[in-house]
Amino acid sequence: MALPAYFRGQLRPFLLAAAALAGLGLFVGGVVFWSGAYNISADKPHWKVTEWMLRTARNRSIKVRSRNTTPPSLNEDGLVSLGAEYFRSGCASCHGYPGQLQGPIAAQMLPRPPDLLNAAKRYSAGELHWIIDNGLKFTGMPAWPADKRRDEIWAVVAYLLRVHERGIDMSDSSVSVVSFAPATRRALRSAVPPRDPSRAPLATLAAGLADSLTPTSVLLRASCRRCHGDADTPPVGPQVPSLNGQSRPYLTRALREYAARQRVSGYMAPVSHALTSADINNVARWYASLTPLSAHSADMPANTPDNDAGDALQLGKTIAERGLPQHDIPACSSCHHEASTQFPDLHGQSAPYLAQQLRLFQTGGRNKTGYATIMATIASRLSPAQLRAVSLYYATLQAEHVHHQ
Amino acid sequence: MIRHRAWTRLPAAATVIVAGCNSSQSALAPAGVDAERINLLFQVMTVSGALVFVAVMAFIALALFGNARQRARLANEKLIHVAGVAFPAVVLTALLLYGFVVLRAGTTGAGEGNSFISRNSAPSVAVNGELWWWRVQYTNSDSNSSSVGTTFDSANELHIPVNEPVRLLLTSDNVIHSFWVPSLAGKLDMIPGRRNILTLTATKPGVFRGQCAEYCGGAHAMMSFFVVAHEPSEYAAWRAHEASPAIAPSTNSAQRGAQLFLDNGCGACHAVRGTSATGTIGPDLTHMASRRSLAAATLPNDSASLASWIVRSTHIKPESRMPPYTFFTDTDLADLVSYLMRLR
Repeated sequence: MALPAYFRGQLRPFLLAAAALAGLGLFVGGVVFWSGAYNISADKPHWKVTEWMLRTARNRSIKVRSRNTTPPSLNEDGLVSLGAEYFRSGCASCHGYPGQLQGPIAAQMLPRPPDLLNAAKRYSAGELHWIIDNGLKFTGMPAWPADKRRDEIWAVVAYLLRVHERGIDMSDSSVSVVSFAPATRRALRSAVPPRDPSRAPLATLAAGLADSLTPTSVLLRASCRRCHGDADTPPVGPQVPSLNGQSRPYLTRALREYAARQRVSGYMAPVSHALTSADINNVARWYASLTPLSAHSADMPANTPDNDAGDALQLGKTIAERGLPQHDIPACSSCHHEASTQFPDLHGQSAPYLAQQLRLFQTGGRNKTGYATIMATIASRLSPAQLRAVSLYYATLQAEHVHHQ
Repeated sequence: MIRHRAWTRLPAAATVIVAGCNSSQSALAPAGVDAERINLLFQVMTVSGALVFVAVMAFIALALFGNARQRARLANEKLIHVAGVAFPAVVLTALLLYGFVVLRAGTTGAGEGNSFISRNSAPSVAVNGELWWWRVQYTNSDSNSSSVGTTFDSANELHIPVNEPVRLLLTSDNVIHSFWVPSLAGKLDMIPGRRNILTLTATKPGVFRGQCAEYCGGAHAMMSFFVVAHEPSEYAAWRAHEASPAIAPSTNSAQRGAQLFLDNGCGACHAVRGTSATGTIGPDLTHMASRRSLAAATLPNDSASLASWIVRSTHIKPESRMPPYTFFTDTDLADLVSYLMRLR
């Protein structure tokens, strides 16, 4: 076979040399690759050039891929506090609390998880959302632990924005996540078994006996009440449902579904994953026994509808009590009533939470169980106005006392 | 979705063709005044058409193969005028007029008189086309009864007295459907915003099958129903029973089933008269066990089919508006079915 003309001419020595070099390069590369000569140790930092390349590739990727993400309003009540609670259990173990020293374990990661005090300065809200949603390859940053729940991430973004805006001001309770939320502090204080029982407040002792409070169950409850509140404290924000007085079968089922990922939430997935069957029963029994908070109390300002919502309330009442047969929408109350312990009680639940769940049902984010399939079918028949109306209506109702123990 | 080869569809196609011969759903086996008229029209048209066809073929054969004398006769101008102009004009006009007369039979616009109805007080039944089933509403028109004007609902089954014209008020509040019981009458569309009236007179007692005859969406093919024509005395008894509230559950299992029915929100869409279930979105189930079919003649009406319908409604009838109830335990399901199958 004749060699091509250019290979026989003056170029020939150069081309041969190039081929030889490439071969040598492959060989050396192969030896380095297989021999273990590259030190994977996280103790050894990257070369400057490697680090520059990695960082540039990462930043470009984030910028380009998040360009279609538009943030909703991040000024909603409770959003920052909810984000702070998530940060505490989901982020702080690696990133540390904003402006504080990291834990010694996370500090040895490579790359070292950054202090997020100024994250909002380096990244826009949309970019932060993208990072939390997707995670980052090769860095240890995980993706959001729930599919189809991008909506939940905005609370964490809102928290990061607030932290950046305010700095670390410990007097601002919405930011100072280092300390436990007030409800948790109170619970822990009353829960740690006093050395000398005679010195414990009598009420605490009595409650403890009646409720067979073990330190485990106290910690368990403390972690629920951080977001969901308890008999005295409302939920951390209107995005979070109040669980007081919900039926035990429903609460148990909800936790099992979260643990099995049949119901998806980045907030509830890690929490429910850690629960044993006994824990689930314990928590469900406890919340079922609590008296619902008053919907009209000052604690839940988000439940007070605007003045022009009268028509919406009327429509909501119709949907809740009689349904809209002409649109094939059955009455909510035909399943959501006291005798049906598998269905949540909607009285006094916040409007943003109800609306968000209905939208989730509509968009396929909550349809993996038999019960959810039915609700998804019905929710898909609601127009946006009907959805808003029925959410508002239930939010204005006084939660009935505890029907189910 | 599995794509079948054409030959695997043959048995299905054959079934459809044979079903056409089944006397319960066949325009060729008339059991109603209108259907008889339509059948006669069909036969007259077919025989006339066949005679004309044979005559034309004969003329063509003559033109092609006849001898010179015969062809010359064919070219006669007089023959053209008589057989080519006058004959078709007269025959086709006559057939057309006859067709008009027959087609008008039984149908009137709202409020219009109808020569085939002897009395204005003919019992009327409202039939509303739903997605994808039939809401049947009877109005008490017996002037001796104290409950004049009261109505009661049923579904997917129409009961009529034999030899008595029944006015059907056909409506739809969703899409266009068409009401067609081939053995009893012609088809008439159910159009949103309109009330079409079809007068049905069965001439023989029996059970006749009907079918939605206008494509109305996903489960159109599974939107069928039955018409039961009773002897008058039997009809009165049926009507009295159908108007009565549901019988109370008698067994333990049925009582549990009744409770499950209410607790799980079945009453949001279905009514069982005499209980707190008053939904109007889906079919009235007060006497569902006495009907001949489930889900608009999609399934036979027995316990196994009902259980499977509750659990797999959208699988059995794609796009069914009733969501599948998959969360019942086997015991729950058995109790629920036991309750419903006793609603005779």
